[in-house]
Amino acid sequence: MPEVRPDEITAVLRKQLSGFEKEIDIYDVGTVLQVGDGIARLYGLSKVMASELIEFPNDVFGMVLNLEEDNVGCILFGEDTKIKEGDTVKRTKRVASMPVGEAMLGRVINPLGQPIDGRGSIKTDKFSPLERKALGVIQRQPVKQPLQTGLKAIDGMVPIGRGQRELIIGDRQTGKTAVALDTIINQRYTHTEKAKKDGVKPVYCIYVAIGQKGSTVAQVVTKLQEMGAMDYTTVIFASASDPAPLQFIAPYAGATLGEFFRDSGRDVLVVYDDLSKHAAAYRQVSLLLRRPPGREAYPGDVFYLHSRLLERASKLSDELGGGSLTALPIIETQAGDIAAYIPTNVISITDGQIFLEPNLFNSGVRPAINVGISVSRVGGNAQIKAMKKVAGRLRLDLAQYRELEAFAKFGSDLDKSTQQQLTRGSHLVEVLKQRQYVPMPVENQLVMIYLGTSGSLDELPLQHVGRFEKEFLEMMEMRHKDLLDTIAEKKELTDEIAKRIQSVAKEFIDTFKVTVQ
Amino acid sequence: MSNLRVAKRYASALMALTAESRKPEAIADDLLTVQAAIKSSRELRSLLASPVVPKEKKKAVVTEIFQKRIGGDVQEYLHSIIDKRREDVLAEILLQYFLLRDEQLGIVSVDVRTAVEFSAGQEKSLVKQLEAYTQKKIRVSFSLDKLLKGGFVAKVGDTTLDGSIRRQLEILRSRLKDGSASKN
Repeated sequence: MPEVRPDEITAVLRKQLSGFEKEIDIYDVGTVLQVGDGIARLYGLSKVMASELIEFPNDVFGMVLNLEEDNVGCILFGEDTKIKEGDTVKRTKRVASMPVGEAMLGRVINPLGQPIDGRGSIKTDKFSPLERKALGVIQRQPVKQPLQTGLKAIDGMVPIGRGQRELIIGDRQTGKTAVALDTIINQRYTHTEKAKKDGVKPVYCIYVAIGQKGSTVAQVVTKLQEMGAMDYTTVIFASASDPAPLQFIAPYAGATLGEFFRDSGRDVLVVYDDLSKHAAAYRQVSLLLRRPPGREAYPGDVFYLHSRLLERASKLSDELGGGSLTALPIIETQAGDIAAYIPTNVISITDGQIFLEPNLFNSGVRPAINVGISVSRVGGNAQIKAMKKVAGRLRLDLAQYRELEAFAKFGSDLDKSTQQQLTRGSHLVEVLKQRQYVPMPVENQLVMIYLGTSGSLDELPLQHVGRFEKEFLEMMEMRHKDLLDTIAEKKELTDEIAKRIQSVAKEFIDTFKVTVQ
Repeated sequence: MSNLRVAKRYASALMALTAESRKPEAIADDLLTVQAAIKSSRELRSLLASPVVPKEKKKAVVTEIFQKRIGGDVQEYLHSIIDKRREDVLAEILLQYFLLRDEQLGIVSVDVRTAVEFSAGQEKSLVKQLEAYTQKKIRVSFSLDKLLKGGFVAKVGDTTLDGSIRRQLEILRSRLKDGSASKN
């Protein structure tokens, strides 16, 4: 057995302790007057700053929210049962912040930046404040690059640009999270060599789960791992059983981590799932701090709560590296009421919304996007040229279809052009359907939408459109890969390419019809 | 908590009164007498706190106790407080008053806890050091706290100067745990 000499141990200890000097430690203190429900009131701490981090005994931290004449109100990021009246509180002299860094990718963390996936500590050397002022006008540039969600209905009609804020809104069980997850999964292609060749920058993703069940988030993480999406994704999780203050800071933590990537010139997507629960958590904290309640008992600054969060989404100017932070906030409505307080607030803040409807969802139109009221205010700037060209018709055709659909229910003797419009519309609806977890590259989307709007699919029986899409795209991948590659690279649909697609499709439809009959 | 706010208001009014008076020292002395009386007599405290006793009775009692001991100004002030039905916060008002007065005179009170009893010489040099640190006159109260293990802790307002062995050990422990050189 190798022997350890005592003087060796002494030497190691001495080395560890070198530089340790006995000196007087100066710190500011206060005492706890009252504690409970995730908040505490303190006496003293006269020089404390608003939103400063403060240290309680037993490794509990808190953040100062209220500075009043005779006391300081703060929220606790740990269990309030570990703190008692009369405890001493220390200032840390820094505003609430979280560690940021590359090492966060692939991890599940809580809003304070501590890992909760049981895979050891995260090595970072940088801290960023949770609340940061959003950038001004000079530092930004217009949104112009597309962020492909991989969903035909969204990329075609409500395109999302890098640096945009697009709200996903709908009742429970309408597939809001599914849309966001598909978008995250679809970013895998941006990390490939092919994307690099096509001039598409990689997109890093942050999924912020606020007030959700642990089991749901575990499912999400497993799915992301399965699809290979965790390599470029961080999940920030404040569960329903975490104290409200943690849920309140969770989206800000997401934005802070996102800004770290953005400021280093990269593109980031942050999903806030969901902001209605965030507003409820903030309402709880505010009421406990005795701030006066307003409409639906939300505090007066609930608009500012979300506007300052979403304003941090941005596309940086080229001088600052040209990075971007795209925000996809999610709002859950009650029985489709988008005129409620929080939904209207967030709708007015964002650059557009994707409205999901339970009726559509139940009748099998998935993703259940209501095309009529879903908009993207950035619009065509966030689409590649080819898609802009093809999808212009799509919106129009679908609008006409919806108008006629109501009429068609009354009588059967319709003239020929009306009937033709109806078939076109129903086929387009069929084309826009898509299964979950199978995002589609933009060139494939383009081919399908082109075939739909040009009427090539009108003769197919409706129930076979889905199968046609699958088999046709497989054939394209195998036999006409060059065509797809040209579209992806040039991002344009020239007449020549369009003609070739038409002829390939015609040939395929002829053989496909035979197999149908 | 709300009492504190009330007490601060009355105390600052009292400060203004003192400033106008020709003998501010005398008023302070009188208030000190009142404070001592309240502190020492439980009966007086419960009389002031009781909402059942009518104002006139309270005034009569206060006059009788303090008539020969304090000046007319302070007596009048006490009466007006009773008129306003704030006599239950009188103790708090006096406390706030002396805090305000200290602030005005540039005196800070410092609580020093030591692990071992300091000798007179040590105390003197510590006071000197603290005066240099705060740049103000200080009023010190010493107390013994064996838990500190060694050294002393001085509390100046909200700021704590911690030179105790306990704190040093805490810092040492956190440093060994993180393996980093950062302190606190």
